[in-house]
Amino acid sequence: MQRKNQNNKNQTTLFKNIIYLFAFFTALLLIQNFGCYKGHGISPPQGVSLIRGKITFTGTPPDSTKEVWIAVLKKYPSGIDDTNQLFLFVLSNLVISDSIPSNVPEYDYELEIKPGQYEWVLVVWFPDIEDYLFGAKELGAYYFNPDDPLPTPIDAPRNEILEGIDIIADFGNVNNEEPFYKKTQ
Amino acid sequence: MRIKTSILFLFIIFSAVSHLFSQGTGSLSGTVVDSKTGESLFGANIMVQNTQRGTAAGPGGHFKIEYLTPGVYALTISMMGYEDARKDNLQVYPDQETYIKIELKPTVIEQPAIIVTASKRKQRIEDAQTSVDVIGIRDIQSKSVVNLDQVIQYVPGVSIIDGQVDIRGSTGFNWAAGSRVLVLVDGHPLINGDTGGISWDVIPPDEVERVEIVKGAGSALYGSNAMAGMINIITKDPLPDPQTRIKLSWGFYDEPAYPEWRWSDRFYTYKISNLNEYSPLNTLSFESVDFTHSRRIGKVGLHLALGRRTSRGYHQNGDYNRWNVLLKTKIRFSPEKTLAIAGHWALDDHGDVLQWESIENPLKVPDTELGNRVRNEKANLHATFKNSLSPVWYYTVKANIFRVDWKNEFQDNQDYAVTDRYGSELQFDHFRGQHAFTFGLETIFQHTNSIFYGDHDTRSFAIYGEDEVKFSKLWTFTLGTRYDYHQVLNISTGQQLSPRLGIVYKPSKKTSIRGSAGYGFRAPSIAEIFADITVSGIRVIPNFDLTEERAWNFELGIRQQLVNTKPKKNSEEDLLKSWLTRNLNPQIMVDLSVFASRYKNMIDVDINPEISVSEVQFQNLGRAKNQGVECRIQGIFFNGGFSTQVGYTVIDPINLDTGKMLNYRSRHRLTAGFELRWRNLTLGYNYRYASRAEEIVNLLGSAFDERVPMHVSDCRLLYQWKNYQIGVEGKNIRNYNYTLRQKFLEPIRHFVFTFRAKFD
Repeated sequence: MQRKNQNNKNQTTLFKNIIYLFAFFTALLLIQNFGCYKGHGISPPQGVSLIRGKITFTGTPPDSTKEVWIAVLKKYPSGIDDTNQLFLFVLSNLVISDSIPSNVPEYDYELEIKPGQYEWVLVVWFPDIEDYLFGAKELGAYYFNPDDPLPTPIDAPRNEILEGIDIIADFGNVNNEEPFYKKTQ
Repeated sequence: MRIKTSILFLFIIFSAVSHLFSQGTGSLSGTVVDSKTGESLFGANIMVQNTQRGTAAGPGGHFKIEYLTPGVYALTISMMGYEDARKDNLQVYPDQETYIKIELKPTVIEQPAIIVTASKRKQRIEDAQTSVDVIGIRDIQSKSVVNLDQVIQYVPGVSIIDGQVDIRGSTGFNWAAGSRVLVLVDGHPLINGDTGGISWDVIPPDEVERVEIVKGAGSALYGSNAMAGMINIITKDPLPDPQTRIKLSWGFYDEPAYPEWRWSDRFYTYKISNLNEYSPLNTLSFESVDFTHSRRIGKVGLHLALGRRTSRGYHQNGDYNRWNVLLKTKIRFSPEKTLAIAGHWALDDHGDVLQWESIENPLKVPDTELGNRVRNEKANLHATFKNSLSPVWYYTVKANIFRVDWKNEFQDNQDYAVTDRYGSELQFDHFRGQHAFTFGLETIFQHTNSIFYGDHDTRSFAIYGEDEVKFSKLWTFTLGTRYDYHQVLNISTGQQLSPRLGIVYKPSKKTSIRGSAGYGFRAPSIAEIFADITVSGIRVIPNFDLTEERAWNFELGIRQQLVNTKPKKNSEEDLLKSWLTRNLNPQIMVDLSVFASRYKNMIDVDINPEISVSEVQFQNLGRAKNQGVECRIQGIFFNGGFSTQVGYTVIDPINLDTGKMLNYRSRHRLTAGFELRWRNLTLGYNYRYASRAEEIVNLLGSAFDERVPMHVSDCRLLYQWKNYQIGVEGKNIRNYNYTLRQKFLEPIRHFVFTFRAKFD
């Protein structure tokens, strides 16, 4: 009799534990869903940064010029001599300018970008051909010290203006075989 | 013509042999009814013990198992929603029919006891050597979905990215090319012949009886594509009595989480603020109409379904217009001799989105993609003939044709592809003593005509065999293998042996411990080898050296049922226990799995640094591994009034050559949900979580990292009155913004209203 009572007690405890287990899971679910994560996941980037500078054009724009853009890129390509390198980056429409005038000796630009670090600010030339994106060439990039082998990275501050990002754009570079000009070559 | 002649010849031969075998045998027949109501139970499964031979109850619950060698037999009878029953000591006499009446007691457990996918024949779910999940008709119909993959993503360990299935981290995102999970419809492959992707829109969700999801290598029986698992979609059979069903649904997308993301003045709340202009029909809405009629004329059952779905979409280019037709006929010559022929046709005309315009406007597409459309048409015809040669010999003949015809109507290209896939299979099942043999052969031929794949033919031939041995009531061993020979004409040939070993140990009726080791493989699809296309600036280049990927899969698992036993009447036992057992009546199932995979020559899309970072290619990456743990707890309480399920999966998929995590995999995944039923009302809630993908392929040069964990919550309320049901469902009710692939925002919050009616 005592053993039977003990069995009953054990079973009752088991059922109680089952209820507690599922109550725990349900509570976990509700807490997780309504308490632990805030917001709506991906959100629009808050704030912008403004970069300003002067583009000095040298040489004569070729007749085959279609457009010239300013591009601001997160990463500088490392060790890849790629005919379509620029094209990949211009796909990211967050970091390119509208077409800028190219038949002027100098052009003061202002570009709104997302705050953050960028390794490459450059001027890109596009030929007037059907697949013009594939014919992109670098005219020049931002170098704080002209003797530096690599373009100078910038750190665009949120809601502030970063000035002095000057670039020398040489139309002679459109004749380069490589799409972007590397000083190390 | 030659194929048709061969199949006809096979039918004649087997019919003749079958007649010879039938001499001097007896049969078992009977009726299966509900023990409470006395209603006949159409579709109940009846299996002959030890022989594993069986049938399903037909109209009126009647069944007949013929050609039994005289002797004593035992039957087990099972059906979803009923407790299993067993009938022992049934004597079968020569040339006589033994009749029995079987009563099944209703239960609240809704998991079907019998599955057909794991071993290519009927078996109990706890006898499967790998993890198996089953989605029943109730789960499918309770959720308003456009495609079936939207239901499958609630299964623990399974995720869907752009229609591509990932079971336990086997697959990332391959731009819909290639699948490591074989998707079947009634046992026939539903894999596109060109891309190797899955055409979910071919099967209307409401015409599905259940979905069986087998996790783990299945190449030993199914060959290529089944290296990480199989999903078998079992469609509804024609009903014995005429029935017509209608389903109407209408829904709309809510405002985006951030006002600056509005891209249209047709958002719901945007119009509400200008009441004069508001019209429900003018919002970003979607709707569907489905009509189904099912009946039987003599021995021939017919099931016809027509459907149309349209949507304005929640983002630019997000609209679609779809049509579906399904016709299934089933001729029941005898309980064991059936011929099923099914045809599916689907037309899908939808806007195409490769990437969003920017994070400032994630619901808009770049101007260069605006108006891009894809129009595709799919036609699937398959036939299955089943018969028995003797009480211990069965055979199944299958034939199928699947055509996929699609065309891009993009700003920059008008590419197209037409692919035909022809398949046939002959399978034998033989039961001898404690052995259950399954063996057969399969052939597949594919032809593709495409502007960017070129014209290519592939052929494959396979022979397979598996033996399941029940050494005792406790131990079951399975050993099988399959040999595949496949050929891409004028390009390459390959062959593969895929062995599998499985062990199931059942120390008690409620406990099942399983272990399996299997070798799987996947031949690259035509798209992965030959694709030569530029889409929105990304160029895909062909790889003629691409070879098949291979993997070893291992699993150890335990499935434990905790089913309450009801107390004796007038018991004076503990009052709490009595109350608990009578009212709470908990029925709990716990399933725990430990799994591991080792890949060789894994195929993945990658930037090809040797060519260009803006050009991508499908490549054999090298070695990779994946391992993890999965736990699933399912509970039903208050006699079915409350049910809940929690599933958690943790994985560790690593590229062994780079040491990095494989692309587009979430290390942690959780699915949870409950359903509360009270009188005619049903309240349901589901939640899905996936941790942030640690590695992706940075194809589009994104300057913004949009990867976040996924938190998606859905809820629904259904009201059933006689043959009518109305429902409202809120999806992604937290309006959580997330991506599963780059630069594509998954659906924002939306609501669906559904009306169903059934006319008998």
